[in-house]
Amino acid sequence: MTGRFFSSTWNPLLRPFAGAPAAGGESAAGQPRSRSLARAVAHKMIVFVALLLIVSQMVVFLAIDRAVSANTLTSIRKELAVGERIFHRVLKERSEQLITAARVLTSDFAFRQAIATADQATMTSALNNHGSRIGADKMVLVSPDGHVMAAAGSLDNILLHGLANNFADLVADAAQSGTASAIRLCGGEPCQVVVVPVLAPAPIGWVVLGFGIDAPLAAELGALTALDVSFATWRRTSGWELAASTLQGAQFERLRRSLGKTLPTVVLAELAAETAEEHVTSPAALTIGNDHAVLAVLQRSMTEALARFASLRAILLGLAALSLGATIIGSLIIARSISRPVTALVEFAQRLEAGQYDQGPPAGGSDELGQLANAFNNMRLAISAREQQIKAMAYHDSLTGLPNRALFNDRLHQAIGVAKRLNHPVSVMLIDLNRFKEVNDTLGHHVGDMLLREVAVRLRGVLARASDTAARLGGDEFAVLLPTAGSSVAEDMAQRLRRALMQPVVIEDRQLDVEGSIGVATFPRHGQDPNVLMSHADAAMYFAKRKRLPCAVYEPSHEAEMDGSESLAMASELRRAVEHDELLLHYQPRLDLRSGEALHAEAMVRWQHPQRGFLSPSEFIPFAERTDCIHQVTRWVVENAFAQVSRWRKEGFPVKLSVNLSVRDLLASDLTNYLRQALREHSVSARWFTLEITESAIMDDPEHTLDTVKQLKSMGFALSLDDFGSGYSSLAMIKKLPVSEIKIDQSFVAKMDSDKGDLAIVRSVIDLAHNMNLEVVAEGVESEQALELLQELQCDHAQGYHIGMPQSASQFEQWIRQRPAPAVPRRISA
Amino acid sequence: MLRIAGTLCAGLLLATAVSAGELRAQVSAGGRPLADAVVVASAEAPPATTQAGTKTSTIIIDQVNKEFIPYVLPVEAGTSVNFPNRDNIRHHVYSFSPAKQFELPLYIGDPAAPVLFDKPGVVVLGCNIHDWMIAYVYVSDSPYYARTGADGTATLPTLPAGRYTVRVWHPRLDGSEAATAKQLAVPAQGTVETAWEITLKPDFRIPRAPIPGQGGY
Ligand SMILES: [Cu+2]
Repeated sequence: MTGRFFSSTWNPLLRPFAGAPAAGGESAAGQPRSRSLARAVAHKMIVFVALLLIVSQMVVFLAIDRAVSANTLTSIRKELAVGERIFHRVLKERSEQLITAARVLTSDFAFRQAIATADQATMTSALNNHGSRIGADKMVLVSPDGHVMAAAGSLDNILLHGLANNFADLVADAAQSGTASAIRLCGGEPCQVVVVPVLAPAPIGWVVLGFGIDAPLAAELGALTALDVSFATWRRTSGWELAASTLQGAQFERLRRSLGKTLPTVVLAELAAETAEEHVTSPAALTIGNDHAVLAVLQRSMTEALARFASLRAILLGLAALSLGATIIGSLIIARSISRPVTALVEFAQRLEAGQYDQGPPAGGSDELGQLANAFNNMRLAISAREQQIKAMAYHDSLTGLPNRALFNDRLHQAIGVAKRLNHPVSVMLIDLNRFKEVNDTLGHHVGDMLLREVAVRLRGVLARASDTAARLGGDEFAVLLPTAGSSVAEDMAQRLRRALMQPVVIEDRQLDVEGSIGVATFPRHGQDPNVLMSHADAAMYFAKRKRLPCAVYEPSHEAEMDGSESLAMASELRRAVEHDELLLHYQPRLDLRSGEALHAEAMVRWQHPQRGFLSPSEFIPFAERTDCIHQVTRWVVENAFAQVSRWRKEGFPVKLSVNLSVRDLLASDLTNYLRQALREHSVSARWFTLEITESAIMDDPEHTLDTVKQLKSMGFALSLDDFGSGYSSLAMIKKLPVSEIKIDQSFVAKMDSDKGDLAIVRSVIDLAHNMNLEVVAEGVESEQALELLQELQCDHAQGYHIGMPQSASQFEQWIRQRPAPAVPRRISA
Repeated sequence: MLRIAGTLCAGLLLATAVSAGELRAQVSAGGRPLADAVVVASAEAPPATTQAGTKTSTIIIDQVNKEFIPYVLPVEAGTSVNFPNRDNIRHHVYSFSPAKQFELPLYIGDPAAPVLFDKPGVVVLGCNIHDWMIAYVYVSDSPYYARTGADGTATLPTLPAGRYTVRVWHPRLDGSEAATAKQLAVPAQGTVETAWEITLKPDFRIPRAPIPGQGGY
């Protein structure tokens, strides 16, 4: 029964803790992903910020560029307008200067004299001479009545003949206002023409002077106006010509092309409307006639003006690039400063995930990340504490506080791992308390528990070194790990342990002698593998127990004895015991909670071993079950039980008995026949007996067992399901089984008044059983409270130390006689 | 003021010789009386007697305050004109006119000799130093002429009776003098009146150079 508490396999629940390093490995693989995530976030941020900046810079740049362009255009137009004014002003001033010069010329007495009095040749000569003085290119003398009197300079004859027409208006103008000036085409060349009178002192003629509009003039005007100045001439006969210009090369050509072949008025409009790509143009008609025209074309170079802003543009672009770079670097730093703590937190969380609770989170500021880190840290501490608790619960035995089997195995693994590397021995000791079951059965579980606690204290006391581990593997089985001890050291330690255990234990004024059997196995001599080592220690321990030795170091022969000769020895001993009546039956009364009667008892076998003394069933029934010996034991029990009932019945005791059947009994084909025969032999009724079977008995071979059980039922036996709750019985199975009662395992009942879970189980089992028309027997009733609780729960029967100990037949008779008359059952009174 | 005593003298002499009538001419321009116009009457049948002896008398054109005075001086051909300089600066009187070309280079006071105007026509006088100085000598081939006053009236007092061609001339006369010719008869006694409305050319006078401390002409 104790075996189910210490499974030799690993508890899968413990794996997550044991597997921490593996989890760490996984998280290490997962880290780069999270780092790249942080980087991706940073990159996204940078890209976003950079794009935003580029867009905004672009907008600013375009706006500034447009403003600059517009501004440039406006300022160019202004410059052009100013230049135009200057141009016209300069032309006008020039004409005035020319007029003045001409007047000075014509005032010259000799000149006047020559004009007034001399012949044609002299006149022409004087005209040429004096005109040249003031730089006139063309000189004409016109009589007051409009005849050309003389001409000089670069004048061709055709022109000369047309002079009257050409300058008549100017002369008339001069006659009106004294002087006249205009820009005219003279022989295809643009000229600034001035007309002044020759006074003697009344006008005796008009001097017409033409000053060529040529490249130097254009250059001078260009310098004064800061514009490109061009003079275009048009004659109906020969079309457009660029007479003089400050333009050069391609620009000159472009302007010439743009003049085209159209009329001056059209050209004027076209030039004025010209889009400002490279030039802003302002044309002005200096003269327009039917067959000729002179235009001044003033231009401001756009590219030249914009070139001024090129440096500004370069500065803007530089600033944009600079701020973009600064932003990207800044974003990188910021993103990193954000992602670094996040990454650190992620790494921290991954450490948590991996179960590494020792290291705190990265130190954070007072911001959200810092708070998060704080929260994480609190979480870490909480998890760590909880894990410690869970670990403690998972690794420690709650009763004694010693490490449990899992922790022991863990440490054993570690110790062997270390020992393999460092090449030193490891020893394990298994300690089994002798006759502990007896203590438990006779003195109750609480005494047993106290005893176990005391044993634990003593074990701890003996183990001096911190690396030595004492553990409770389950029940009364303890183990000690000596990580660096060889066999001899271990043996020595075993002796000390035994001495420590031999000191009497006083519990509730009772002195108990504790003895243990110790088995020692040492790595690497007795096994390389922890499990092998443990089983060898186990074998040694059993050897010691059998031989009643305090301690045994493993030898291979131990196992052989155990499996073969030992079992056989045990079987033969049992057989002898059966034959020599070394076995005896004890009877534990059970109380009918409804009637208050106690006329039912469970027959329990005991072995008065000649050497080992009193053995409880758990100490030899498992052995017996391994061999066919159990049949003999069972038959002995049945014979004696039947005989006893027969006796009691004859004596007037209407006692019923429960008899335990083992698995093997049920599987035996002749069980029913044997029982029939036994009933006959002892003249007893099957109704006086209840056959107790365990769950496991049914589970092994359900069909056959079920068959047998049904037959037993049909024979009149009552059937009871023993140890209910400790195994794996399904409800369906119970339903199929023709049992009339179930016995709740004492483990539930014993702690029912302190453990709510157990109480709930007991309550549900009772309810369940009643619903299935089954009666319920509660085992292990050790206190009045438990009994009262069971009554409240409407349990049918109760059994346990509180009601009666297992006792001999005569004692049982006496117990019944001494028992007061059954009290009125509470349930009926209620 | 008037220094035309000679002319008046000649008229008186004629009046005594033959019976004579009076010609009163009214010259206006733009409806306003025109001064300095010269009215000339030419007899269709010239008188037999010559009056060469009378031509010896000298007439003057003063230069006062850098102006010629008078502005218009009608003389009969063969008359000498003196150009006394009343200013304390030098003048340089000249003429390029075909009727009489001469030059009186810079001088002060009376020039050495008077200038003889022997050809009929208009002589424009100028000063080479002062461009604005201008005066006209109308050299008439007829002995009968008169200059209009501020009222635009010219009176030829003693014209022998007979038929006359009368013309008017003015420095700014638009058109030819001949175009103004009129035929009229002068009675032995009494007054014949005639009138011209003429158009003027723009006044083409050169402004005086400003003198420091004085303004304008
Ligand atoms: Cu003068």
